[in-house]
Amino acid sequence: MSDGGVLVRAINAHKVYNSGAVRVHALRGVELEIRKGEMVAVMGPSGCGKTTLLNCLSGLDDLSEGEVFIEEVPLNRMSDRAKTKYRALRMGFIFQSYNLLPVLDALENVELPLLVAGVAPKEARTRAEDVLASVGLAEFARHKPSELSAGQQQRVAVARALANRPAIVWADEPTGNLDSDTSAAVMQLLHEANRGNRQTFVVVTHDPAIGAYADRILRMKNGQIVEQVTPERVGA
Amino acid sequence: MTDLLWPVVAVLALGAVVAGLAAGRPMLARMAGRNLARRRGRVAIAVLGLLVGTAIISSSLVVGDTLNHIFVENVYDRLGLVDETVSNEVGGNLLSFNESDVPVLRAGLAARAAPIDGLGPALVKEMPIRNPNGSKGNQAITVMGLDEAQEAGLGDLIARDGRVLPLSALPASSVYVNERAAGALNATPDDILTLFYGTTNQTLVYRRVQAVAQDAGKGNWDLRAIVFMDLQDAQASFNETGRVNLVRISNVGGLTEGVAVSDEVTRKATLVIADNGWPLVARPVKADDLDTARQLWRDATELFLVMGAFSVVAGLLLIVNIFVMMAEERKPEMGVSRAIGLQRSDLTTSFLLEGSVFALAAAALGALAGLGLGAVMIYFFGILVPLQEGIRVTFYFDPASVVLAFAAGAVMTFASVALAAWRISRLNVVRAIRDLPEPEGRHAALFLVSGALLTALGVAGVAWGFAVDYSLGKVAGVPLLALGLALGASRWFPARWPMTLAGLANLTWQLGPWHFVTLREDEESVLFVAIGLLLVLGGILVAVFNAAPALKALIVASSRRRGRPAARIAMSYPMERPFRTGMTLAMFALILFTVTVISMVQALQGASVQQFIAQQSGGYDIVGYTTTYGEIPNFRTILFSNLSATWFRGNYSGVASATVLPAKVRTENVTQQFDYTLWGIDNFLVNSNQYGFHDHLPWILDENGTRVDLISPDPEREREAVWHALGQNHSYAVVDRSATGPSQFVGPGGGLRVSPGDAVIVDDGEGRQVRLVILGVLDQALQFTSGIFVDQAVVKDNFNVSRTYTAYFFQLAPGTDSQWMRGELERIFFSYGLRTIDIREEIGRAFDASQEVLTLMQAYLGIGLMVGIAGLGVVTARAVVERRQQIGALRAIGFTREMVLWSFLIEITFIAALGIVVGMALGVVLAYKVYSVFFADFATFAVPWVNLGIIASIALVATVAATASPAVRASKIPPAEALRYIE
Repeated sequence: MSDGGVLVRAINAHKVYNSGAVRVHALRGVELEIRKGEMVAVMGPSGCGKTTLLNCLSGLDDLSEGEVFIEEVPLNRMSDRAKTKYRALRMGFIFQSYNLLPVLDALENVELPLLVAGVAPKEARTRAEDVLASVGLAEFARHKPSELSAGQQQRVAVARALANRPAIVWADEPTGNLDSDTSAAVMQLLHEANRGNRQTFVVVTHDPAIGAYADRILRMKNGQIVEQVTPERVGA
Repeated sequence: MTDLLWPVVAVLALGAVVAGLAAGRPMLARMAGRNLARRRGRVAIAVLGLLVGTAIISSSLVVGDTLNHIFVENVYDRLGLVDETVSNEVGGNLLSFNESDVPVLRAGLAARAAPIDGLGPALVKEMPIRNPNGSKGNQAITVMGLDEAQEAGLGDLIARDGRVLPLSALPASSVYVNERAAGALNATPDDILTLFYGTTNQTLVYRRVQAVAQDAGKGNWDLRAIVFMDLQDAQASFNETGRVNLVRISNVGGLTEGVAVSDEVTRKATLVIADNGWPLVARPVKADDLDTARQLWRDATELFLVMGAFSVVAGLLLIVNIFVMMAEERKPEMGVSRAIGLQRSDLTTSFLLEGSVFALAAAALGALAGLGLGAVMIYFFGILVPLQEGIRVTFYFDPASVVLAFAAGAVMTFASVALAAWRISRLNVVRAIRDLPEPEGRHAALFLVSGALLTALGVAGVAWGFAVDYSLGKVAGVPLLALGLALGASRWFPARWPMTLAGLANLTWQLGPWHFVTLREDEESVLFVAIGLLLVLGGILVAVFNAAPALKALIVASSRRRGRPAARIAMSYPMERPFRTGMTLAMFALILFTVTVISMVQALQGASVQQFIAQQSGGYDIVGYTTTYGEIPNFRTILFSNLSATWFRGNYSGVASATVLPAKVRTENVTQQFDYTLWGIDNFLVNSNQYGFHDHLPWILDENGTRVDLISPDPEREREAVWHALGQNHSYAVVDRSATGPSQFVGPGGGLRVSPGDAVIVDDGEGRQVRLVILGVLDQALQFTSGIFVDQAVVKDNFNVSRTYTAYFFQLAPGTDSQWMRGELERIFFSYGLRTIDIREEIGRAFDASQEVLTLMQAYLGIGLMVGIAGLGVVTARAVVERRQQIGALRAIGFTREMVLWSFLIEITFIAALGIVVGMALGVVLAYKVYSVFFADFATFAVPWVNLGIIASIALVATVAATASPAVRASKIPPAEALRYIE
């Protein structure tokens, strides 16, 4: 559900990778707007440029051509430090392989982005505990990732992404490594955050069941958005 | 010197194993080759780190070779063709005997078919000589009288232009001088030399210099400055008609090979001496001196190997660490290899083949690098160590040593690779393919078995050690036992607690306030290495399981907000892989441990040098000796008529003297005699000396039978009372501490061993004896005035005064320049051959040389730091690869490049610093323990904080600088690229 304002805008976004002798045109002039509070699913076959689009929109990667505006600020004019700071304060990330830090326990993993964002240590600890509890993992706070199941790890990753109350959460195949029940549970968490906190979600997936949670589905093919559809809403 | 058989066999066997493996499984060889080519940079770092161990071995052997060469050459230089001597020598003093004994000796040897080709008598004297024409004199020129007719087989004197200089061709009243004497006297042909023979009743002899002989062969005898005379002329000049004091024998075989029959010749000469009842001794001087040179070679090699052993062990840890990391890196492909049918043995073979390239390359480069390192060490050794004039410091190595170092390096590296390969091959196929961590308890059985083995070994070590008083068993038994129990307990408890306890038990056992080590000369080196390794093991166990969590907690509790996330991450990773962290820590700790031990020795020396000087000098600034028999007539009158009494402390009482007799001493009821000096001290010396006592009798009876108590509440009065007691009863004597046990001047090999109350018999070598009871033992073993101190009357009344020397002791008033005073004393008493030494200066010179050599040793061992740096470099490079996705995630959640960089730098610094701190702390504590057990009596303990700080800073900065590059690369990885990365 969108509240109308544009949060992210991509104009003629191109991304070219030079991998040795091979030149891969991963994005080919993508035009896109994502509104505040919206949950957008990006779908398409493997290699169509979904993850590249997510990385470029979130500032993790740079475009070869074109522009991305976030909250009307052009990303390509931000320094690396400014982009990093923006990510720390306004963005959350969820990855297919969770990418939790194996040396930190669940609570510390969730706490880390808060500390990076400059939240006072005591407050960071309290907020991390609250978020971890909200994903149902309060009793696993002191467990390291290797001591958690795949679903639990992804819930910790969700908690980490949400801990900072970001304006936008980028999720790259958040359920790619999970079974269907666990996938549904994780997506339910994201859905609730989207609905409850009015947070914007951009979810890369090729699972139609996940796409069903979105307000809008962008279908990609060969580096281009070829279709925008509104799915049958889950729980609508 | 080095036997090549085993090294060559080992290398060939190794080569055969590798070739056999490669030929049997060419596909595995191809895999190994391609794996090597995949990461050339890492291979280069690894080889660099690995070669250090071999370089240390190679340089140790090469330094030994050079020292052996220097000192063996020195023996040939000094003795020329002479293999044995026959003399009556007491304390370095040659007593004369009848020349008529010489033909009897020659005939006796001929009758026994002794394989000799030369035998010649000599009359050797040392005396002051002045060359008025050259305006130069020297108090200690050797005058050697030789009989040309008996010099066959002993070589010739050769002039500078190559002519032979026969003594028979000398005109009357003429002499030859060697180049060394010519230099000392500024003498040229036709100069008239004045020879001052004798002290009390002095004879002046004038001789013309006929020619200068080369310092070579016979002309280089004992590396002395020599005036050569005809024997009869010498006998007549020095009141020794018909007497000689040395017979030199040359064996068949020439300069170097004659020594092979030295035992036989010595034995036969001894038989002739015994048959004739002469008080003479035949000595295989060349064989003995060569043995000494070879012992020096062994000692030097052993010292370098022992100190370098820690670097070698660090190098071996590096190998294991590198291969274990390589295995972690290739786990999925190894899993796939196993899945498609490769056996465990195939994986082991593949790693062995790969490792053999590391082993051979590192060993070859290391052996050659060791040559260079050895040359550098010898260069500085030549500059820093004051050697006797005439000793040439030239770099030399035996190629066999380099081959041995190569073989040792290659075999050790290969063995470590084999161990690592075996460990690596034991993987679970499914988990390996999916790159999943091993489950808890996977190694439980291995831990239990290892634990049981170590426990059994520990129990056996303790039992054996205490049953037969074998120190190594005692030292290693308890730590092995503790480690064995800890490994077993890790099956049921988190490893942190049993391992910490095992580490603490080890440290407590080694460093606790008990002393269970019995030092034996042949065990000292092994013990030092064992204790060092065990200490580092204990320290690492405690550190690796506790330091990171403690520091992390500290950071969480106290650090500034901005630095906290990076620091927290940095502190979390080392704990995640305790094996890897422990191995890396150990590399640093081992190196810094040895460097610190040497630094502590340096500091101990530095802190104790003033106390040492005070103890050695006994309060005297200058000691003077006459070079010939007797005492200087009217010494005090001449002295004070030339020099003001105010230049001496206490004026006239600041000058004392002692009548010195080189003697043979034995404990009563024991037959073995030792060369010892008897010091008959005058009243001035009794009153003014400051030598303190380690132990003394509580009371004596004086000459009248009256009891004299020596104990006093005032230590100074007690000390004085003991010295005065020598005058109250002439049957008492004081000895310096060298007579009670091994000291820094006399090794544990033997010597007089007495304590207060024991009786000793002093013999002058000519049948005169005196029995003395030991009254006291001085605080210190003395370097310059070592011996037995008695009242002057004891020497004068019981011995032939004409066979004694005189020593003079001077205490200078504040402000009197010691150097100037020495010059004045030697000038005034030149004709009596007075030679002086400034004890402070002599000790200072030796101290400076020792300090510099220790610094050199630290630098040498510091090279081992390369192992630690290479180890940490490889670990960091691996960590960057392993954590690439995590770096991406960190960048995604807001870590800036700087934070990523800092997290790596903090981690690197933490590991290096922890290793450095552990090594240094253990070095300091062990030094304190050794000090408290062995040196507390006479040395001052000091910790060289500044020096250690500098060493730690250099080590840390060098390490961080050398290993920062992977961290910098990590920080520059674009986040999206990092997240995409699949290893």
